[in-house]
Amino acid sequence: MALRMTVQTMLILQALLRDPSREPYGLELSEETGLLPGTAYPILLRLEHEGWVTSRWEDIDPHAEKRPPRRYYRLTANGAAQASVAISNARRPKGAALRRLAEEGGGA
Amino acid sequence: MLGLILGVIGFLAINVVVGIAMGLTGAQNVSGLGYHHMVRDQSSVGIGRRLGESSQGSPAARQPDPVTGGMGGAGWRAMRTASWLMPPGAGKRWLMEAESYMAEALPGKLGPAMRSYMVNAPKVVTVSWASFLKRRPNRTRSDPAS
Repeated sequence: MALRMTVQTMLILQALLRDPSREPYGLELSEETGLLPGTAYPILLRLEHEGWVTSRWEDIDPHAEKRPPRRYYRLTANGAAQASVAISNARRPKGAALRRLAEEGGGA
Repeated sequence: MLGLILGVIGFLAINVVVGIAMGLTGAQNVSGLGYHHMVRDQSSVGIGRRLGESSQGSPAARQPDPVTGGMGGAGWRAMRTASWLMPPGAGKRWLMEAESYMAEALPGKLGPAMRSYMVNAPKVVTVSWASFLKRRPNRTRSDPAS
């Protein structure tokens, strides 16, 4: 299953890459990326299945904390490397676009 | 080719089932949120307590909830129905994630969040089944028991 690099996926990867040692949870990721949690969840699931991201449940007593446990997400070493490449590739203009620009510039 | 066709048919079927579930459970009122009830059904912790919910038998419990507007658990029921379409464990995790988010999110964000979970449920179904089938050990002709 090849990973489709959508804008939303990039936003999640960027948020996770900001500090790869940090473990944000769903609400934090949602606030950082501006994505709704239902949108972010399948992306995180896909990233996890591809081995880019790992996740774990918070180990708390929900009754004592008065809230359900959070699920924390973190980039794997492989995921961090691949995410950096994917983001830099997305930022780099495509060869065809550069050629078109060059042609336009040459013709002017 | 056959796999692709079956995949497309499966995805459409999932969308239809989720759509029917949303329709049957009145998910048009999802913005009103059933999370209040969702947590009461699923666990004793969460927004129910956050709202200072009193016991079920008391008159206060029969009053419309100030946040949900007494919309009931329509959203929650729709989500639970959608979770049945997911492989073992995946549905529970999805519901728990939603519960975790909603317990801490601001009340104004609960409606859009619930809608986004429902709208993206078919994607979760597809991704989780794909992953489940990929992880599943291949028990075909090479099975020595057969």
